[in-house]
Parts: sequence; structure tokens; C-alpha cells
Amino acid sequence: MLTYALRRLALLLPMLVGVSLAVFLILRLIPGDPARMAAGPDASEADVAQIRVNYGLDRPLLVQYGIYLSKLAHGDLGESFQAMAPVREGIARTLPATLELTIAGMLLAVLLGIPMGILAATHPRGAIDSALTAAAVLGISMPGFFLGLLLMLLFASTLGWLPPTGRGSWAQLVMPAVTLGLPYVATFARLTRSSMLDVLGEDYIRTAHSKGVSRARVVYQHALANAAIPLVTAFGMDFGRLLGGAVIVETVFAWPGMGRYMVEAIMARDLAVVQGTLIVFAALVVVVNLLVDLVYGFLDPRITYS
Amino acid sequence: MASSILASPIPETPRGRGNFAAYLVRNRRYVALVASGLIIAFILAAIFVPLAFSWEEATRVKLGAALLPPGPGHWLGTDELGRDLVARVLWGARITLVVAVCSVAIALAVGVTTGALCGFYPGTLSGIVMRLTDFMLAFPRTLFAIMIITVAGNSIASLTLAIGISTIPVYARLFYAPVMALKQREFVVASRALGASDLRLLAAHILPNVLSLVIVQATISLAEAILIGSGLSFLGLGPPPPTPEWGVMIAGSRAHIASNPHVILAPGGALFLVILSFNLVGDALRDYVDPRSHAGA
Repeated sequence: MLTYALRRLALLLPMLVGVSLAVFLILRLIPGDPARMAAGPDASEADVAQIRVNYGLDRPLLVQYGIYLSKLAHGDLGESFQAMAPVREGIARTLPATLELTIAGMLLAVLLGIPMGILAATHPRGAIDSALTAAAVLGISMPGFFLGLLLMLLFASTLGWLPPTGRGSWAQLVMPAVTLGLPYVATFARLTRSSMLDVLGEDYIRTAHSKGVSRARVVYQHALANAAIPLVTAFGMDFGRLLGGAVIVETVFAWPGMGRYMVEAIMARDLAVVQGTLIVFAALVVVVNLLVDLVYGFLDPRITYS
Repeated sequence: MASSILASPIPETPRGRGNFAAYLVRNRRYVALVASGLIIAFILAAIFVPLAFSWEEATRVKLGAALLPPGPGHWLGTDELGRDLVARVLWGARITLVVAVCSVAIALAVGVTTGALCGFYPGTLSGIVMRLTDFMLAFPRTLFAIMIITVAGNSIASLTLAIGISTIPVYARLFYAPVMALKQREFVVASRALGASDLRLLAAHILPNVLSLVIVQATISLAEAILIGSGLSFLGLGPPPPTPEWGVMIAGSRAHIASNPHVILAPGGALFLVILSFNLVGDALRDYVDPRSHAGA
């Protein structure tokens, strides 16, 4: 287990370097001149050339990446054209809000989805079962920004129960977290259901029943522990999707997170910020998937690193 | 769910089971039948909207007619700049359809080719390409598309390109395993023994057998493309206003949601119904081409 964890961790660094290289290259190789974009449409040729030299954009691509990487290793993500401040400061300011929102959305999906899935698995072909099937397709079909605006219309404008935008109080977290997490409740529930149904058909479950173990204990202790592995996989995949969704939800609710910071930087053509936020988003995905792999090793000791 | 197609074996192409509409009626899948009807209506609206409303009507500002409630003359009301919402929603259908179909076509063309070649010629290069594909799949597609739009600019074309490129890994991954499995099947081996070229094996023997996978996944991809595209447009990363794209319309009118909810509900409702219809039809198509998958649905 320890060797597995260590070998898995050793992969982290090369993956993060790979991610930063991919983001760096994509942002440069697609047609378009970053210096011109930073300068704006009205800039003179001289201004563009000056910006190109100031930001090292006149040097060979690999040299630029080498400089970027060595700065990155020291926690320096470059400087924002627009704010004249380090990108690191902007990320430090906005990342906690994004994590808070994503984790809250994820918790909502997991804490509602898993119990619903267990109920559906223990009462197959019941009303919960068909409701979940319908809810799952509604969930994947609902654009986050439309759901967010509908919630805002109902709970902020009409009923006045919740503040429409902003961050700071618990009440302000409710609507963004629900908008982000709700579409995933049914997805998680359906996965829990099918995974539980697979496990409940296994021999050891029948053995446990025949030994006289209580039904609740069979379901919650024997079955759920084994049904958890596919759920952990889904958690890893969905975390990435939720981060992507958070970008949109943050804009709907004026939530001061990293997604909004990134989108505003795109509008302003602030390449350093776009690059820094994308790398941090990608690093989050990589780290969460690493944690998922570690949890696998813990849940199922048979899994080894190959 | 897309994941269940990835895991399922290659479905046989259905034979002698009647057409899709008859299948839906016979199995009492009326919701999917209604959804198919909505998709047809959506496509017809997208094609024929210029006959009913000019581009002018959908985009010209008429402040005197701003924020009219739904009623005769303006069946869905008007937006904050006095533009008729029926005209805008229908023109939006045209833009949405073009973006969705073209982006899925890009993803299909590149993704199917990549997946098929990697599955057909396994080796170090294929291994690297597929590892890269897995990595791209783990990365949020919205963020991937945002990265492309950042450099390609805001337009319908770059929106289409961004969604298309971010969808390529889905198809590469989808085709890799079935092509690798089909390559070993007797009819392919026999054809090769008879002297068929690799291209002929792929085009005439392998691809027809994965066609049903393509159709199901493409239907679901259309739903996802519309979802992602409208989200990016809502963020301001799609075509600029006054383009009557649904996400752009919602972003532009959101300040009026409390006083005039119809300005949001008209484009948002259209968006939701179209995405829902594609997902419902995708699910039904999956059961149609592969009856076994119904048990797991």
C-alpha cells in the first residue's frame, strides 16, 4: 500500500509539468498574437513590439516555457496585464471561493445521491427507481446557468428567502451549490443503485444473510463498502465536470471565484491570468484523480500499481 | 449515460425490427416519441426560419416595443431592446443547430479516425495517443473549450471549433476498443486472407459494424454540444450580441429576470427542451440498436 502510494505520488510532478506545457503550448500555437491581444485593437506597431519584448514573447518558444516553468516552480505565475499585480495573488484571492463552491456542490450530490441510490437498490422497480431515471436525464439536460437563474427567480426575487448574489454568508452559498450539485444527484443515485445491485447479487451477501446478519448491516456494511469503488471513480470524473460547471455558476451568482477571474481575464485578453488559472484548474483535476487512485488502494487492497 | 456505451460490447445493427418510430410506439416509449417530434420541429425551424422572420426582425432594436409581455403580435413577448422573442428564439435554433452539427462533425471525423487507426494499428504511438486521450477526457471539457476560444476569439466558428476539438477524445476512446476487437474477428481475418487492403478492411468491414455506436453517441454529443455551447455563449465566449444565440440572449436579458421572466424563460425553455429531447432520443436509440442495454438503464 505504501509503495503504491509513493509510486503514484512520484507521477504527480511529471504530470503537472506535462499539464503546464500543454496549456502553455496550446495558448501559443493556435493562430493569434498574444502581444497584439494584450495591446488591444488600437495599439500601434511600436506598442505591440514593446509588449512583445517586455514579456519575453520575442524569444524562442521553448526558452519562454523554460523561464515560465522555473518561475512556476517558485510559485510565480507571472503578472496580470490588467491589474498590474501578480497572478498568484489573484488566484490566492479567488481559489478558496471556487473550492468552497465545488466541494459544497459535490457534497450535495453525494449526500443526497448515495442514500437515494441505496433506497432504489433495496426497492428495485419502485417509484424511487423510475423517478431517478427521469431525474437523471433532466439533470444532464439542464444548463447550469438556466437552473441558476430559475432558482434566483423563485427563491430570491419571488419568495425573497435567499440573497440573489455574492459570497460571505451560508445563505449565499445555498443557491450556487444547489445549482452546481443538483444535476449530479440523480447521476450519483443511479450509479449507487446499479453498483449496489451488482454487489447485492454476490455470493458473500447471500452468505451474510444466511448467517443471520441483520439486513441493515448487510446493506450498509457488507454491500456499500464494495459498491463504493465505482462511486469513487465517478467522484474523480465528476469533480472535473463540477469545476467546469463552477465557472458558469460563479458568473450567474457573482461568486468571486477563480472561474470568474479567468473569464474576466479572457475578455480583457490578459493571457498570464488565463494561463495561470487554467494550470491551477488542471492541477486540481490531476491532484483529485491522484487522491481517487489512493482511495482505491485503500478500498480494495488487491489493486496494485503496475 | 455515455459511460454505459463505452463499456458495452459492440451492438449488432438491428435487422427486421421495423423503423425507429415503430419501435417507439410498440414499446410505448411515448416520451421519446414526443422528443423525436420536438427534434424534427427544431430542425425544421432552423431551416425555414428565414421564410417567417428576417434577420432584421431578430436583431433590430425597437426601444418603443421593449419588454412587452407575451400576447397577440408577439407570442413570446419582446426583450429589453424590443425584439420579438419568437423571431429570436427561432433564429437561435438555426445557430444552435449549425454549431452543434458542425462541432459533432469535427469530433466525429477526427475522433473516429484517431480511434480507428489506433485500434487497428496498436503500437507505441497508438499507446501514447490513447494515454493522451484519457488525460484529455479527465480534463473538464468546458475549460478545454475555453482555452481554445481564448486564442481563437469570439465567434460562431471558434465556438464550433472549440466544442468540436474538446469532443474528439470521446470518439477516439469510443472506437479504440471495438475496432481492436473487430480486427480479430473471423470475417475481418478472412477478408484480409483474401487480399483486402487495410483501408478496405476498415471502411468496408469494421466501420459498418460500429455505425450504431456512432449514431447513438452522436445524438448524445449533440445534446452535450448544445449544453456546452450555450454555457460558453452565456459567459460571453460565443458569438457577440445581438446574435440571437440562446445563451447570449439569456446573458443579455438576465437583468430583467425579476420584472419580466419571459425574456429568460423563452430562450431558456427552448434550450432545455432541445437538449432534453436529444438526450431522450439518444437513450431510446441506444435501446433500439442494443436491446440488452435496456436492462441496465
